[in-house]
Amino acid sequence: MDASTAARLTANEHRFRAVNERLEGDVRAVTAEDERIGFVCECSLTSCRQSVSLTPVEYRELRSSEDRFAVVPGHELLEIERIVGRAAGYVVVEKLAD
Amino acid sequence: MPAFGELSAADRELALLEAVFTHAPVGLAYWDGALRYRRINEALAAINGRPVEEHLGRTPSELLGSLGAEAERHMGAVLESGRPVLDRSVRGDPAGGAVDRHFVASYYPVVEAGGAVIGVAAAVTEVTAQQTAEAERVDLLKSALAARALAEAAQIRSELAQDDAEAARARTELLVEAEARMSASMDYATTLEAVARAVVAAVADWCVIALAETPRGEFRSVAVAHVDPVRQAQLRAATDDSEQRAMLEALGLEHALVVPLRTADREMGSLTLSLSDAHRRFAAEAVGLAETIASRAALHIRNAQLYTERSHIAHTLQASLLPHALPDVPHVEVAARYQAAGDQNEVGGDFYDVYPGEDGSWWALIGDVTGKGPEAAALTSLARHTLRSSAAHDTSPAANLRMLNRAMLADTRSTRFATVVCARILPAEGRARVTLAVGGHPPPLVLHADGRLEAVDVRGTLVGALPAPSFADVEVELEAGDLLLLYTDGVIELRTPDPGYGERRLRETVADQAGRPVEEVLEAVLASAVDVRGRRPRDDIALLGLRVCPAA
Repeated sequence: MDASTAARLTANEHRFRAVNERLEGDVRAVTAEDERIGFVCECSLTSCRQSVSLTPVEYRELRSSEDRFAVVPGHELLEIERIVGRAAGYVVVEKLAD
Repeated sequence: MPAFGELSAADRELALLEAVFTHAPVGLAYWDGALRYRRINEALAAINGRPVEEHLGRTPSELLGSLGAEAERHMGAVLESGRPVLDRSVRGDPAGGAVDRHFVASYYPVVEAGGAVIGVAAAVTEVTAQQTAEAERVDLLKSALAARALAEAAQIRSELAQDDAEAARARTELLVEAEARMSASMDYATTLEAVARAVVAAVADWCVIALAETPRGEFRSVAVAHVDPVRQAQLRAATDDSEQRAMLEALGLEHALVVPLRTADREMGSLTLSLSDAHRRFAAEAVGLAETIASRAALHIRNAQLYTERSHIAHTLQASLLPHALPDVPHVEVAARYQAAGDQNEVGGDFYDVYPGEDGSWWALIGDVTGKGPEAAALTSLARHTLRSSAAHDTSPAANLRMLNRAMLADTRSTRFATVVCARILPAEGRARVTLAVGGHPPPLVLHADGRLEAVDVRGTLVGALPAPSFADVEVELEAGDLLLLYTDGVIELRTPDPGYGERRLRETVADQAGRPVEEVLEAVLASAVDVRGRRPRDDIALLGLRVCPAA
């Protein structure tokens, strides 16, 4: 995969991250720390309509890194990212450096 | 029991308090210092799922288990501090069931007149319905927010898919346009310039298409395009200049993509795309597009080169089938015209010739071999050279046509035939005797000096078609100023709805030319035929004119 495509796909994942951050902010006051929230899958597949379940604690840990995203297992693109964690219903991927 | 009005004042107060306690819609109870139930109203007893009597003398933990123990902690705090503990949430089913119930309980000290805390009282309200409603509201809110997030993500993905589809459509359009341009022209330099411009508009800042045209493989740019017109000029200069490197650096190029121009049998050059912005990259789709364009361009260039080569061969071959120059025939003014029709890289079958005989006579030929291409060219050559050879042995044009007929039938490689006019001319001062024979060809015209026009009355079968052809010699006497016009059927077969129109038009055109030089007559005839056909003839045209010069 060329660098331009990789950059475009990464930009897409950042758009999904923005959606999830807004969701997390909106439900924070009414969600228990151990309660699972259905966040959108942050993959780059245009056909994806799936969500991933994370607790607020898990989500904050994910967001502590700029380059990490939560995707449905199998939605990772190994040309631009590597899997750095697995949990029930989702995997955590980290962008490869340019 | 005495009526309420018969009671003493103190008893009435006590009865009133008892009624309030008993019928309050919230649970109320009183525990002594050992936390044993001393009083409990019906509401709280109902919450606990036990009759009032079952409570009295027992502690909450004895009756209610863990829920009772929790209540005892609060009551202990009240006894110890003398201060109330208010609005404690309690979750569970005191009645021992599995129902998820919610309560709010407040505990407060019961103080005697002397100020000592002698027990604890509590008010308990069940809020299960409110809690359930609130939980449902929160769940609905969370579901709505999650649904909104999914919808936003779907919108983003839809936009991305739309972007991808739009980009794919643009690439397809570019390819279709490039394909159309390359298919419509054999001028590949001009075509590729347009293709380079289209590529630049789509995926790059500049594009150079270069061909390796020398034995040493040096490249020559044939198409250059840049998004910036100023840099376009710089680029055009740079790609043909020895100081290329410095000029290219001045253009600020950051990324380059070089794709070979390659056909099945050769490497032809390169297509180079470049970006001036360091932050941009060539996407995989751009690489694929460049490869496709390069592939089509290579094929286009190769086809154009082959077309040019074929065209050159065809012109050379065609020229070899016609006299290099017409001879000077004594007392006769001679001129000829030839115009090929259709594709310029095919050899036509029309021919003419003028050459001297052995006895002071001159021979004039005009003919048309069916078809086009190498086979027609070979037969044309056969016809010309057979007639030239046979003329040395026989003075009869009809006999010469029979010789040609035999030669063509003997040529088993060909199934073609020809139409021919063969004329033998005996020129003299101010006159000429012409003997001619025709094989399947339109009869020659004679334009007399006085303006009369007549077709020579001569007929004959096609040459090379029949083993027993019919040819006959006809003699025509020409006087000074008379013109003999030989022509091929391209002049009269104008493909108009009126089948006789071409012949009438030829006669009208020629009739207007009396007294004019042969060159002008032929030009007029040619212009007339070509004009009718929309500036280009649909069939080859050959004209041969011979005019008897006036006596000195």
